[in-house]
Amino acid sequence: MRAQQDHERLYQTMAIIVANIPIGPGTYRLTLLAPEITAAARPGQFVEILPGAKAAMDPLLRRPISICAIDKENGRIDLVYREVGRGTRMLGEKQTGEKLDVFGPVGNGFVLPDEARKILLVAGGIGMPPLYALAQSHPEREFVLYYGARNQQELIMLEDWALLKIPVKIATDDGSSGFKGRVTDLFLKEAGTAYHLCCACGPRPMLTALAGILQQQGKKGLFSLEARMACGVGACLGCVCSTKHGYQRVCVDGPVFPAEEVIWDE
Amino acid sequence: MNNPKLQVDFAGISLRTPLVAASGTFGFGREYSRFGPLDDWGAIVGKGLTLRPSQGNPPPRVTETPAGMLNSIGLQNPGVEAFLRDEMPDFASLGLPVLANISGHTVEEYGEIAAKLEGSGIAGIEVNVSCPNVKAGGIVFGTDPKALAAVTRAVRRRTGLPVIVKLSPNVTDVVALAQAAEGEGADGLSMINTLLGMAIDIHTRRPILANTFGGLSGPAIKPVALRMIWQVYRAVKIPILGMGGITCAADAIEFLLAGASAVAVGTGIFHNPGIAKEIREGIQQYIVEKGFASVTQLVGAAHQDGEGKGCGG
Ligand SMILES: Cc1cc2nc3c(=O)[nH]c(=O)nc-3n(C[C@H](O)[C@H](O)[C@H](O)COP(=O)(O)OP(=O)(O)OC[C@H]3O[C@@H](n4cnc5c(N)ncnc54)[C@H](O)[C@@H]3O)c2cc1C
Ligand SMILES: Cc1cc2nc3c(=O)[nH]c(=O)nc-3n(C[C@H](O)[C@H](O)[C@H](O)COP(=O)(O)O)c2cc1C
Ligand code: FES
Repeated sequence: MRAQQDHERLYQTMAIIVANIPIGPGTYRLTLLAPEITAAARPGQFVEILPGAKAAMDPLLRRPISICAIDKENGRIDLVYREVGRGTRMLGEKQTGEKLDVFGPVGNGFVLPDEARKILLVAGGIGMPPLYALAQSHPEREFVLYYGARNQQELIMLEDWALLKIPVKIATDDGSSGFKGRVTDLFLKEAGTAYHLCCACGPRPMLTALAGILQQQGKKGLFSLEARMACGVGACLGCVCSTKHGYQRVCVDGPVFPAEEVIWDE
Repeated sequence: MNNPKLQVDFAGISLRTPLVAASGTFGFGREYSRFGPLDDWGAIVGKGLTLRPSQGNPPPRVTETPAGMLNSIGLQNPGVEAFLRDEMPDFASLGLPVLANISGHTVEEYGEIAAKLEGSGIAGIEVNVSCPNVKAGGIVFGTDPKALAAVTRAVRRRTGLPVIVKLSPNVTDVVALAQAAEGEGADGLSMINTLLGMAIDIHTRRPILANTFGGLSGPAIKPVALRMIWQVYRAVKIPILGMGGITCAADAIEFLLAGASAVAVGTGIFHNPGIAKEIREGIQQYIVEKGFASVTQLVGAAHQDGEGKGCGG
């Protein structure tokens, strides 16, 4: 099976770090000057970053990070990442003016049907950034964000969402902000059914629960998935997930899949 | 672009550079051509094919390890017939020789796949006898000289194409296996395939790969690959396609000096999709600086004394 974007150009470049600013606990907003990648970028796509020094063989593999904001005019993309291991910690140490070996843009991205005028976004933790790019790129549509995090400190970019004038409904595990509990419970309680499409990104259990809710409501969803990757271009078959069409590559057949096509109980 | 100093003949296949994309890491060429023309490569070996379609192992299938990675793809592929119908037209028009990598569950299957590839535009057949991932097959052929000889014979009988047997490093005496392949008329050897390994998640206390075991590749395996190529170079006459952890020109040159006639890069491509250009330029510079007439003069050049066998350490 061939991804529709199989023929689209990919760019490997030494992107210049314009900024790498902490915006939350262990969380950074990285602005990269990468004109070719930016010109081709669509919301829901990601880039593959080499976190180590050039020619250092450890860590060997690139890290996939979603595109969070696209500034076509200035040839810049923003990425928002959380330090969870060696590679992301190395990224956290990078300084403005340094260069990063990056390739992209990778993946299908969110392809919105015309009739999806009102879209509910559901984000869990560090799954929020690609949904920001989606909302930013579609001023013609109406969005509401359901945003779940562990606690108030981990909620990031609320000012950015306010600038887009998009309502944000918050759920935290400890109740330190908004609804106390899971974001999917808040969604079930408040979302109703007056919407056309649900776009989501977050931990697998959240997506699994949400897929169940959408199925019951008879609604369509576009969910962005994660997988361990090696090549990040569709060549190695290392990143597959189970779907109704068999194994599909998260990197190029996704990362965005229709919720109803994913086999969730794996 | 074409530099005669970099041209090599490998097992009857003419390569414009001694750089080959390793099986399973380059799809059927299409994915990496999205970065631009594949001018720096001499040939591509396609991902492993089986007689019938195979869905491969469940995920997770890959994980990073120190200076390397483990994979347990398990030979996911559309089967040789769908490959010929759906993939071969594009694969054959990339402008460089393309090889098929084949695996079977029985000796007969190897022969059958080889026969189907005849006349398809494939430049040669790399016979995978060492994939450690598929429980039913692979491992048996690659570790037993008799079984490996039988597979080589079966493929040899069914094809006039160059036959390159890809050796597994998961053996005690790689030379015996190399000689078994040579004895049955293999035109060349590919070495090495991945080393069997595993990794455990200490938080879930379970193996990371769903398949438990996977094949280790990348810089971590380079010294093992070099040692095996060195040993085999001394024991056989057929040419060697050397691979295992190559990530720069210096690595590639080491493999040539150890006895490889051409080199393949796999995992290094994941690190740097532009790796072939860097390696080609580096080899070219080395040849000029050291005053060699062509890359072929490097092959086996580290064996000057002709002796030096024995135990290390
Ligand atoms: C399509 C996609 C988009 C992503 N977007 C973002 C984002 O916008 N912001 C963000 O903070 N994170 C994002 N991630 C997760 C991010 O890739 C991982 O957090 C990161 O790779 C961890 O690397 P590490 O070296 O810090 O961790 P380690 O645990 O040391 O990494 C070890 C290996 O596991 C892989 N790995 C570990 N966690 C993950 C994971 N969750 N997903 C995929 N591979 C993983 C690493 O890439 C590496 O190969 C995304 C993942 C995918 C697949
Ligand atoms: C993801 C992946 C898939 C592979 N698939 C195959 C395969 O289908 N057939 C095969 O003979 N070798 C396969 N290999 C082995 C490589 O071709 C190569 O022999 C090995 O990885 C060592 O080289 P490297 O360190 O440069 O990657 C695979 C390796 C990787 C990393
Ligand atoms: S990471 Fe290699 S196919 Fe997706």
